[in-house]
Amino acid sequence: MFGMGSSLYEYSDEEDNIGKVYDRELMKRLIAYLKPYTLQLFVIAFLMVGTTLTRLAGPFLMQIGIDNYIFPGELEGLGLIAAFLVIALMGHFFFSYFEEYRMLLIGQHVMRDLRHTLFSHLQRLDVQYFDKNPVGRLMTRVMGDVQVLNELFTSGVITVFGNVLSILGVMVAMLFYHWKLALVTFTVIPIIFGATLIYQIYSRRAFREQRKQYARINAYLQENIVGMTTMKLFAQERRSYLRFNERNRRYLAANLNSIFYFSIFHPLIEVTASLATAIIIWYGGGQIVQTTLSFGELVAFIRLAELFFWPIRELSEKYTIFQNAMASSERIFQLLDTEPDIVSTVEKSGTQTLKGEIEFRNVWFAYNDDDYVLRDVSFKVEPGEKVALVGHTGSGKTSIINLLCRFYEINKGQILIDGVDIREMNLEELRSAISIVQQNIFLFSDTIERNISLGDSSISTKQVEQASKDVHLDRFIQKMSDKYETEIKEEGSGLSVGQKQLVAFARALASDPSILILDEATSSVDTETEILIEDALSRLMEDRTSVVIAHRLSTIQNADKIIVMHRGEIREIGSHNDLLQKGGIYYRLYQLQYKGQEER
Amino acid sequence: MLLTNGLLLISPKILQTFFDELAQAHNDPNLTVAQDRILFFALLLFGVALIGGILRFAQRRIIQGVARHIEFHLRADFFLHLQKLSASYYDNVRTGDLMTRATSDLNAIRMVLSSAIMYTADAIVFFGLAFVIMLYIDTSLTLVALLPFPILALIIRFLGKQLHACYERIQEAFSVLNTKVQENLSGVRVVKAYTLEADEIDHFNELNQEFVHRNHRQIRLMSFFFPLFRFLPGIGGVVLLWMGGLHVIDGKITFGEFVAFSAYLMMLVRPMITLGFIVNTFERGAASMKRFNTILNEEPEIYDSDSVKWNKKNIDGEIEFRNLNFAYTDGQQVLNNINLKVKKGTTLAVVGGTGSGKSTLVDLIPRIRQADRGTIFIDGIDVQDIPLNVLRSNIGFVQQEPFLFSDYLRNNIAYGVETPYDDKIREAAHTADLLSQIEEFPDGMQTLLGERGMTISGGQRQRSALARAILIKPKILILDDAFANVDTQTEDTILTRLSEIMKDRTTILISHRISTVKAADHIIVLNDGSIVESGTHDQLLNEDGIYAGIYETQLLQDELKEL
Repeated sequence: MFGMGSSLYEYSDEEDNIGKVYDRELMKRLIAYLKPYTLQLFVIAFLMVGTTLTRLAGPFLMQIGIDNYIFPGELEGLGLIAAFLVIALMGHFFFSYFEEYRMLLIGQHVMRDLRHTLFSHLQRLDVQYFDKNPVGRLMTRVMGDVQVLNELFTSGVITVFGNVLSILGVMVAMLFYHWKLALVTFTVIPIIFGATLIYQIYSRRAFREQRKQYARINAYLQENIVGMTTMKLFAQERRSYLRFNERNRRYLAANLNSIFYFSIFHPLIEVTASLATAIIIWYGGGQIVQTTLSFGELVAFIRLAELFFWPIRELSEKYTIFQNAMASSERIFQLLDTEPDIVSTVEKSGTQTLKGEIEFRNVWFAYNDDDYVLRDVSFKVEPGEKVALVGHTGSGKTSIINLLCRFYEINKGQILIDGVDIREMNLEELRSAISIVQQNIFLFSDTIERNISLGDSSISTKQVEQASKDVHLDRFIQKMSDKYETEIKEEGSGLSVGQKQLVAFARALASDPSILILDEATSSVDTETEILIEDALSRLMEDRTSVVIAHRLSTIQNADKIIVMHRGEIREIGSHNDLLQKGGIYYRLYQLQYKGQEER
Repeated sequence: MLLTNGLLLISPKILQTFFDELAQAHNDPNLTVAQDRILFFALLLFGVALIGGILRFAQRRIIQGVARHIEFHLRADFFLHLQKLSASYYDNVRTGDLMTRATSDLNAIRMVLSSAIMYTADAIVFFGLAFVIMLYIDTSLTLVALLPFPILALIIRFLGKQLHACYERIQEAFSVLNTKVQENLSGVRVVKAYTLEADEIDHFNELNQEFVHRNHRQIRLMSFFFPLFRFLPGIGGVVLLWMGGLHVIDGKITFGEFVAFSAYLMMLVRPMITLGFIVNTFERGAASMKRFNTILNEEPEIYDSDSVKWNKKNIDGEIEFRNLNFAYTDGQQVLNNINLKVKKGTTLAVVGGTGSGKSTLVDLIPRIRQADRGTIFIDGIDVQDIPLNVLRSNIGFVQQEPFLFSDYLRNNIAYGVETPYDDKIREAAHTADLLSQIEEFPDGMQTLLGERGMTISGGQRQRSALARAILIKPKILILDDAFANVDTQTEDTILTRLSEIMKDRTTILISHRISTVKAADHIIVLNDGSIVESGTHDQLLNEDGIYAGIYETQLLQDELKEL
């Protein structure tokens, strides 16, 4: 039943399986995004040296204070040491302020760049990709996963990475103080590495599962927000909630599973740090007894060990974030690696306007595999000709117009416009030469004017108004509170279906295309408006090649040529009268409609 | 937690004893500290840390688990609440914004619950215990060394407020950005058809830049914050060295105590630094909680009122409108003084121009939108007195633009029923004249629909929605221009099959085609929200008004076809 969440987004499993990219690869690609900021990174590196030195000054001054003043009981000079310590602290403060600031800033900029890259990449992907990937899931990718990287930057993990530098500094200092003691202390390092490695292997799996469940629950939530009215109409709140809860629960389970790893790692590092201190005491204590080590040195050493473990601890604390970020970047790069099948191989040719001659030559097409929706379709449309596509739902009419805009790639044959294969045309030029009014009219939440001009600066307000008048939309706009500046709500809610269609007409008219495509555009407007539209359409189609899909025969009366589709094949082509006389499918379609009207 | 922190505090004490013994041995050549004594200290230190580690592990697991559970419940509440809100609410909100609240904001809240609470509790307990012990070692030293901490608290208070404001602005911009992406993705076909990619990217970049811009201030504050949390405790270290050094020389404290004190102070630095992180997380979470609560506090407009007195599971299907007026929240008047009675088992057809109020009229019946009390009655009872559940599960509704879920076709048709039977589903699909086509699909009923059912044609979507509505065997069937994308031949077939099923049920039919509404028992014509004509097909033709006009035009069109 519905509850089978696994069935819903099956393709997502597949994508989760490919993603076995290694951290190093991921890091490399993430770091590539830092390239534009190389100079700033150098500044940061410089600041980091300052931060590290001023930090190391602390234990060093402490040791001098103890060995030279406190232990021997010298009062003089202790004040001076304290003063130095204050200076070191202040230096540390300023260095780390600028370091932190620069670092966070770069982080924000890198994320901005990433979002930009992702968004631009999505604009390039094929319609087919969007058929298969719900908006909710893509949203999780562009915004959610990038936001996880945000945590990577803001939580200071990067700064901690920078502290690796200070670990090295601390190690040098320790060796400098007492190399034997230092080496003994370093024996804990393999333990840290081992623990990290094991943690990494197990936690990655848990995090991947977590992200997957997260994407699922969000896709579900998004879909149900959009389909809220349907849910209410069928009184399905309770069951929909149960299904939501099931996903929520799965996400919870995935989370709880990852908590184990999160919880165990940090204390483990903590214990290891104590182990190091214990080793220092055990070995260092012996050295003091043998007087090869001073008290101040031992105290300083313990503090150095503390400094040594501090970045490691921080890192372990934030390792979850790091792991999460890796899982997210995996998914981000996966999306970026998805290449569109349909790309322009040709540069823009210039401002040449198309004549609008269309030819389909033995076109075969299937959405998946070899389940053909179009079989050996051939026809030709002369420039300025008006063609009507007729046929039952599912006969392949919509596919024809989808292919004409090159939303999908055909399997066999050729589609030519002005004698040129559309695959050899610049994609942008092809699509801007065609205006399409689709079955489902999508409106942006923006002003009416911008919905008509679509932000094209070459279309003036005057042209928008003229287009609206031509399609008789103006009369409706004049009734609205802010006229053309009226904000349309999400996806045009608040406008009737008829009004939405008029907006789409105005949009098509304003863009003044060489080829006009109408997909069942006249089907759901009332008779009064339909007459107005028919009037507008004849103006719109003037001197333009037009391909119209309409089920109602009245709207195709004026077509120069009628193409009758049946089960993916062209069965009849001809004028209205010719086809009627032929007594074929068109005749049947026509008769059925006409008879039906008489009977009732 | 007390235990964990208590254990943590033992270690410096061990260090102290160790150093004191060592110092004694150092000063007095007669005394030697045995190697095994040193080993004992080392092992003790490690043992304490180990137990502490285990306790900490348990503590983390519990707190994180609780946080995740709370997150789970918050998300569930969010969804439940969204379900209660009415259509008029969704007119004015954007999906992208709601999604931001359910994801980004909820995440920020969870961070407070898990990390912030864990660290705060840790820091407070730890600080308290350490403070007492330090006082015990050296009172005056403690008071002076910890002097920077109250200053820190004041600064936190001040900066916290600033951060809060920052985060509100940031989340707001994030929401806008989210909405942009969501809308772009939903309208991807338009974007491609009109080659708007470049414009869309430009617009996105603008918003993207604005978001980064709003982050700048927060970054400035943050980068000031963290170093400050290291600096002020560092001052404590200076005090320790200077004043503590003097105290050791004066013999007020032992050297071991000095070391222990220094260890405690070091230990206090870390909670201080995490405190910076906590304040940050907390402010972010608080800003998000506010945004999250805005949704939860939104009062649902339509709900089962207390006056609901209804004990039947079904309704008969008689509908009555009495002096019904309706206006949208923006004040736009849609319906004026509608008076109408639809008897059980009859068919009402509604005809009217674009924007005449047809859809609104039928939306009011299942209370998708709310009309005033005392204006709409079913079986003589105010719709507001019928439980929503009973009301809606007895109404089959096919919208102009039906919404299908990205699920199997079969599940979409069976959406409204608890236990779907295959033969019933096939029957409904047959009535909607969809069955033969489904059988032509390679996966048949198990065809997986894309988002919003976009992978099938508009006509197929409408008929799937019709099958979905029929399957619940509604007492009232509302078809809101449900055949707009279906050709007349198919429509005819469907209407014939429907008339049998709907014999004893009430049907409301909105259509533009006279051929569709002709056979209805009663036809009304809406114009600007008022009923201007009412009667049967023949009566209306005689009236020679709008309806007759439409009929004439369509007849003319039909005649044209014959030429």
